[in-house]
Amino acid sequence: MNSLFETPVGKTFLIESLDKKLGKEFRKDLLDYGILPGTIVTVNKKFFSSEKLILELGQTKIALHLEDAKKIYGKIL
Amino acid sequence: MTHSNYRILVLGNPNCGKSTLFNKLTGANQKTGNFPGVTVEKHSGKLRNENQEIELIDLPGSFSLTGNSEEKKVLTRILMQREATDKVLFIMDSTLLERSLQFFFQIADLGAPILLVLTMKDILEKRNISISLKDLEHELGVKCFLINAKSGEGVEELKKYLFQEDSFKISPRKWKWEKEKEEFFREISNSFEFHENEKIFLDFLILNTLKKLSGEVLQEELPTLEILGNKFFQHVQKKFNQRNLKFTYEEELIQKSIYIKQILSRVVFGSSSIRFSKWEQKIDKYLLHPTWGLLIFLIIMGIVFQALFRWAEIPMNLIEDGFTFLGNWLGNFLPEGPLRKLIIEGVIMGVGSVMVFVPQIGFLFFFIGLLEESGYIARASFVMDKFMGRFGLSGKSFIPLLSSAACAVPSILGARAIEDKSDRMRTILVSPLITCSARYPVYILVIGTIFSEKLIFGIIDVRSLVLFCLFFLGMFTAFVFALIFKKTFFKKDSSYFILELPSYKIPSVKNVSYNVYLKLKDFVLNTGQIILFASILLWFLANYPYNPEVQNKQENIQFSYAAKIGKTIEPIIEPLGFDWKIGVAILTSFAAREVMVSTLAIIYGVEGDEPSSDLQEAMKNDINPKTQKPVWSFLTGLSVLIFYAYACQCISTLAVVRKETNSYFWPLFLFSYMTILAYLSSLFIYQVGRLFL
Repeated sequence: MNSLFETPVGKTFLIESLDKKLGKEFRKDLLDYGILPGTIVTVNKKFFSSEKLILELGQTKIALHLEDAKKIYGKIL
Repeated sequence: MTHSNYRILVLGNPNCGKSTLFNKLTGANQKTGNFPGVTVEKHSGKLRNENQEIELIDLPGSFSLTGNSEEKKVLTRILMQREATDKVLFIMDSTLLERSLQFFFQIADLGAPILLVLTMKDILEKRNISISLKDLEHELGVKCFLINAKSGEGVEELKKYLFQEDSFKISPRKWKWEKEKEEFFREISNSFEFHENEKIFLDFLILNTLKKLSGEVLQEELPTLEILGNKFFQHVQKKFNQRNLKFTYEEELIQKSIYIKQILSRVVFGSSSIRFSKWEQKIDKYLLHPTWGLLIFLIIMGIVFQALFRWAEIPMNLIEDGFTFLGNWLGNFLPEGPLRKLIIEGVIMGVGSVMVFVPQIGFLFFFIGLLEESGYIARASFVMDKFMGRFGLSGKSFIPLLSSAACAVPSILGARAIEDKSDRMRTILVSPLITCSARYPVYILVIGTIFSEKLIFGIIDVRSLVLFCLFFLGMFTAFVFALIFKKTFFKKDSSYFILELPSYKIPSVKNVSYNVYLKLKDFVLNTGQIILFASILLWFLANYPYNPEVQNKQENIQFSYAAKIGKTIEPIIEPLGFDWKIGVAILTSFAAREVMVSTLAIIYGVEGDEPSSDLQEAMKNDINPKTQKPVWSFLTGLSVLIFYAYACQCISTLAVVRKETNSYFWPLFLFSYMTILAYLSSLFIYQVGRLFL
């Protein structure tokens, strides 16, 4: 199993689970934004200096901390 | 005209075109207030045809009713306490159907009659995507419209349906849990004997109850079967304990998502996987870049402040001339005496001296509105996140803090969107340090008094540059104090970062202008009342007791009540370089900062007729009788600017902090720390400055 963090830019990723370490409120927010198991996302950009990752989810872009992307597990497609 | 027997609650995700449609539907028939018992702004308007009117209420945009942010709690409370006849106008971005339908289903689960509107028709067409509304209506069980809220395409037809009560339909629950859980859910639902109409809401209560029993932390405002009585809850609890089933929010969303995908496969046609355009990717490359992005942010803010000074000059002069004309015109009719003086010198000069700054405040709202609609503000939050993280704030605090540039009140209310309590409290406590629109009249007056009109490199106005620096001083100090609070009061850190970067859009100047008009109307009506009251009071204090032996009005003011009050506090403020007149202005501006300008206009302007530009002249020419030096020296002006940059002079802010924190301690703390900071900073600037100047 891979993490979203490991997904190269431009590649798609099938989300399988969210780590409990993300915290209840954050997990709820992620789910509300559409980052839920069974969803396919595309990694749009990674900014290592500002420690962020941008993913594409349907017609929208969502930004996360790289550290949090390490706790989103699934398959690189 | 008859009033409709139902209200329409307008709901949807953030950035779905909800407010644009709301403005289109209600036009100028809007008002703002608060929902009963809460400090959430109630934005309502009237939708009218030839013989009927309906009240529309624009509710805050949200992705769901779960989560414990204050914003979501309040939205849920409003929905739970809605009137039985209320209808829901649900707005959905047609390019983001999957996520929007998740929220739609949560609202449908409440059993409210809904009419669904899909926006962004133009973008859909550009992407060659079509949606079969007929099939969507069949799938969801509600009436659907596809419109372009910006151009108004489809809005007229929609209006007709909004006047027909039967256009709103209850959407029955069609999504299902996985087999075993769904059977259990049905078994429980069928074990209660309720009327068919109440069944949907009952299912909603059962759903919440099962999630609670499965160990989910439900949002405080979401009801369970307990509201019907303990026996109902215990009945379900007993059945639940006999089975090993878990009903979680995550699984609920997954099941809904599966159902949504099925619906979309049947109703959406064309290329739905169109990625972002190349130019959008290119712009993001620079706007989101850690260095370039920050630099671009600084340049954009610099341009905004330059424009505030340069572009607002013409309307400001027109307003100033208008008040002068009004004063002169009334002077021709009113007989000599105290009433004439009160109206011309008190009311017109006092109110006019603040109203003259309305164009600058309007320009500020306009630029923030344009940036927000274009999709840039979210990019600015992204870029600022790391920088803010160094000061113990998350990127989520950036938007409330930026809205502080208009007013601290919406900023403090906006902090509700921050789930983490420590992060939210830090944002609330530092928001009033950001330069708000009420400070601009004071800054512009003082900057214009102590700085002359000079261009640096032939293009940068030195006064704009000082204003720009004051804006960043406020922001920088807010960050420093956020860090101090993190190291002292709010050490716990569980903040996180998730941010949607909306697609770039060409902002609608019409829509932004309309919102600016509404905000300015609010400013003029609400702040205007305070200023009018303060102006009358100050005029009285500055002119009485009247000494007929003293002919010169400027001399007469030396014996006034205002002078007595100012001179009483003079020993405290003298070390800051302030005289009694500034002292009176500080005291009166504790109600609202901008009252400082009308106070000085009344104290200084008693000789003249014009409200503002002559005020700066009067201030420049004012000589301190004790020192025989100008009262408004460069150092005094700087000291006043710093004092106003830091002092907490706004009753509304303190009232909102009291309400939001549900405590008297925090507003008192806020007032104390900011006033001490203002006093010590001004003292430092003035006393250290004297060693060099």
